[in-house]
Amino acid sequence: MNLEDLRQKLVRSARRHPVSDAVPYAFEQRVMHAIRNAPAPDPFLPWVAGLWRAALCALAIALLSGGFHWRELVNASAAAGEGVPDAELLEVAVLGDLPDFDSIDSEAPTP
Amino acid sequence: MDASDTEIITAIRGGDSGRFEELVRRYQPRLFATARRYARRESEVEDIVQAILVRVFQNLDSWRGDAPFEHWIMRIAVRVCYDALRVHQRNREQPMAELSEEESSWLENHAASPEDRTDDTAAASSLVARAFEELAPASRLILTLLELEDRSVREISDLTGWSIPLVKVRAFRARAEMRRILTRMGVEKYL
Repeated sequence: MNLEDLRQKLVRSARRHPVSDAVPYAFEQRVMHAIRNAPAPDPFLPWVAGLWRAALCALAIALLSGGFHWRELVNASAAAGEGVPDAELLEVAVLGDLPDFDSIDSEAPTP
Repeated sequence: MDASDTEIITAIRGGDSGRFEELVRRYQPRLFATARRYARRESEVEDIVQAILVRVFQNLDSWRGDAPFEHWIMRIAVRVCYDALRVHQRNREQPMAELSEEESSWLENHAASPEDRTDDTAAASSLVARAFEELAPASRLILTLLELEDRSVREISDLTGWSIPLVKVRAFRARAEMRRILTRMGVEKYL
């Protein structure tokens, strides 16, 4: 007898063993009590689950597109200003729109 | 004469929720027998049956009456039992124990003889139950339905919502998984 034969024999024998369908006393009252006290199912629950899934998809898309643009930016800056350190590029990117403080100082009226 | 399922459900939908107790009384023995195949202890069986019945009550409006109510309730029962099995897997309690005296004796008596005997089904049932405890939830569900409850692949597909090819693939994997577990239990030395 191989292992599969023994397994089948075990299962056939177990199938003949009856499973009890006994019900505890007054179980139906316990169920009715649970039903009366169960919170009503939230009608927005399927929406919440769907929105969570959508949020995760949106996050994944945002990360992918962020990564792609970052690579593009790095490539573009490498092509435009070879030899310019990253810190300087960042400074240009962040402070580019600010007014030139030196020129503001020179335009200030003298007392 | 007892009211039919459809009559009772119509009354419940009309606002007489107290009549759900008649459905509970009608189906609870069947649900207890089903839940006992998956639960580890009696208190768990009661919780599973209660969860099934609460879900049946909450979803009663979705029963359209095109299939027997019994089929619909059993579909919910199987899905609640499967959820319970997945929770078990996360909270496994103890490692596999040694074979008991009755189990070893069953294996000694039966492993060598080719014919099936009808006696001592309790020891075989206990061995199978211990092997099933170690199975993955999907494997346990499929072997219980297919081999212990003797249901067809199509019925299992209806009950679980899995496609027929998926049921067949999972049954094949479940049998292989059970053989590995029986080997770990030390059954091979009786072959």
